Amino acid sequence: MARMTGGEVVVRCLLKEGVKYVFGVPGAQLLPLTDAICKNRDRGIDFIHNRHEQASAHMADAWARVTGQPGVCTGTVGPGATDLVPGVAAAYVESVPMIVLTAQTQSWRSYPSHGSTQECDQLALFSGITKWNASVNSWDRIGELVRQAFRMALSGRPGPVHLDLPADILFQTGELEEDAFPEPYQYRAIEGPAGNPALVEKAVELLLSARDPLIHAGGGVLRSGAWNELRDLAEHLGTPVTPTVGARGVLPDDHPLVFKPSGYGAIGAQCEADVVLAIGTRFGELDGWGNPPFWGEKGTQRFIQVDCAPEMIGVNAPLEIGIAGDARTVLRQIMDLVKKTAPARKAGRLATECRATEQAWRSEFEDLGRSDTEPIHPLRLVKEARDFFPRDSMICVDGGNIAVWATYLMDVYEPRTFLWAGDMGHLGAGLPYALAARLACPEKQVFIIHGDGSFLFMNQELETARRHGLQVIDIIANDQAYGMIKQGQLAACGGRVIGVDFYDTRCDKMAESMGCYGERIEKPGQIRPALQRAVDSGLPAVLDVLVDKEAALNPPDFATIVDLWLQGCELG
Amino acid sequence: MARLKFLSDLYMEEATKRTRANPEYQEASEGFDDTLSFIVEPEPDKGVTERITVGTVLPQASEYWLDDRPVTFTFIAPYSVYVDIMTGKLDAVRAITKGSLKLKGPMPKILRYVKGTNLWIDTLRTIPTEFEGDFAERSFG
Ligand SMILES: Cc1ncc(C[n+]2csc(CCOP(=O)(O)OP(=O)(O)O)c2C)c(N)n1
Repeated sequence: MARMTGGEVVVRCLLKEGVKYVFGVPGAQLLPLTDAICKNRDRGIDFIHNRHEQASAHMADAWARVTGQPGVCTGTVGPGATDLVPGVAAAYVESVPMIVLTAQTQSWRSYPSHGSTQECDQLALFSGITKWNASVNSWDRIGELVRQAFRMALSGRPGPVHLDLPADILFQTGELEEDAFPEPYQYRAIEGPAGNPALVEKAVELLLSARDPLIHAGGGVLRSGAWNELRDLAEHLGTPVTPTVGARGVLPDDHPLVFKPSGYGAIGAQCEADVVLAIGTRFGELDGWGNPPFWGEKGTQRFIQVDCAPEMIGVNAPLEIGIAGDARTVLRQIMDLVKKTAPARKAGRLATECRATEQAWRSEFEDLGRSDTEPIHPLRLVKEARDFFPRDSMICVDGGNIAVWATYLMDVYEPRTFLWAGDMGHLGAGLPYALAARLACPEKQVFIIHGDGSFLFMNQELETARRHGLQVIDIIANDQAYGMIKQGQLAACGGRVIGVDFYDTRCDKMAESMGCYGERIEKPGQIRPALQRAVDSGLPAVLDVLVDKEAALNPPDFATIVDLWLQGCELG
Repeated sequence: MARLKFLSDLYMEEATKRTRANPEYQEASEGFDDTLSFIVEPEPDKGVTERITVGTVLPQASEYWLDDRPVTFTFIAPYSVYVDIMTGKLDAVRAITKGSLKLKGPMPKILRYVKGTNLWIDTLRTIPTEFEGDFAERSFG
């Protein structure tokens, strides 16, 4: 029997879940929680404090994307909680499991508040951007609700969950036995559910009878750790695989069956396939909603969708077969049946033809990637970075146009090594993502392809990097503008621009001021040696690369992206 | 040279000549060797009353036709979309991704020849062109 504060109960539950880090900014009402972390450091948990809670939420998000375990972040009542919101929202839209812990004013004066300083209805605040949330209104229920939080974050479609912790409950002490902290397998499912066997059988029949089958792999495959199963099935059937933007790296970009999202090889395969096995994706906007011209004409293509969340089945594209089940479990079920009935096949006609299409599409970008022009072409920068870092490096992308440029030549070779808040498009996530990636994988190199606008959202986290000795190399494509929005204004507002140009900020000097390495680069030939010096410095580093402002404004797919985003809007 | 009515017999004859005579286009489209149809939907409220169909073989441009025939690739759009493309207001690939220009046919193949297709459109843009109805004022050359 041990006496402990509410904060310690929370931390003991987190320890059972193997939580290594809580990301946050401390506050008075959080004292029992942060103190409990402090006291339990020798058990393997620690507190990473950021310069802004948004960064804490982004770090928790990235921790989950990289490790597959929920990330944990915290903020104090009121401002701490409100600052967490952007990072939680970005994780929510991409189904990233996260535990968000906020302090609340005392239970006897919150809900409804009546004049406390920092009061905030945090349950309402987080309800639209979490799967589930609750107020822990009794010390006796802390353990139960923390376990429920993990159960909810990890079951069905994963996502962030939120617990609101009143200060009096966190400070309250009580006695608990050791067995008050069960093991995770005792209170939540450890394996995802299998698919209905009859439907799996039908899906296999359809796949095997297809002329040109295709596997479309979404973020759900990464979340469930199903890349080996995906590879086995694709290679056995010789089937092309089109990962979604959120699933980049699920198989290596240079795998002969893989076609990058939005590349012409992928679009060709998506249009031409007669049967599509879609796993862990809901056919959202970046997937063209499952409609032409990014997919085949209606009626010419049959979709099988596998998703862990039954409510996502058939949500966008009409289906032939919908299977509710975990990606990895269902892929194993499919593979077992396929192996029994069909011998291994060579890569089919579709894969071969689309490879030629992909190469034709890519060759233009390869040429730009070799460009020697001054100022530096953004693709030269992207290519130099990709060529410099090892295959297994962690890649973070954050920005507008530069993120589009990066899609062309920033190849991803390993699962869970590509971090981009693509669905929310939240500027500023890049540096916190990189820091969490480095914490999770200290043996790997970590770099960020950054816009200057997006860098300036969260640059203060270089201090966090320096303090924790987290070496990340931040490569900024500096065009002194919100390039993507500037180009949008130029195209749609009769050449007028507003609110898009910056002062010439020395991002490298900002890095130096926080004890990091910094360099400004103006010529293409300087990029590679500077990358080497940055790595050799052993410090977090910023390479502030002045890119060709004109060229940077115009990635070839800019107009298509704008058309998708502003579909149905009356543009001049 | 006098302006030629867009997609008329004379226009197609001129298009054929210029297509054959453009080495850059011929090089970019080597190996395409396929048939295409362009169907133009009328827009009576804008003074375009007739449906137009033309077809050809590219990159050879060995023949052209002014009727419906079975082909590998069919492009379909209202007259205004073709005008936007020919006058450079709209990029052909963008017209397809927006859904305003419909394309039927094997996508992997046509996507392999996007550069060639754009060069072909550039070739057509060199022909002095007269548009119909309300689009007459956008005639060029
Ligand atoms: C937090 C946030 N605010 C605003 C936007 C809208 N937005 C999208 S792209 C962009 C410009 C990004 O600029 P930068 O990071 O410098 O990249 P560039 O487009 O110049 O390559 C903006 C402001 C956003 N996505 N996120």
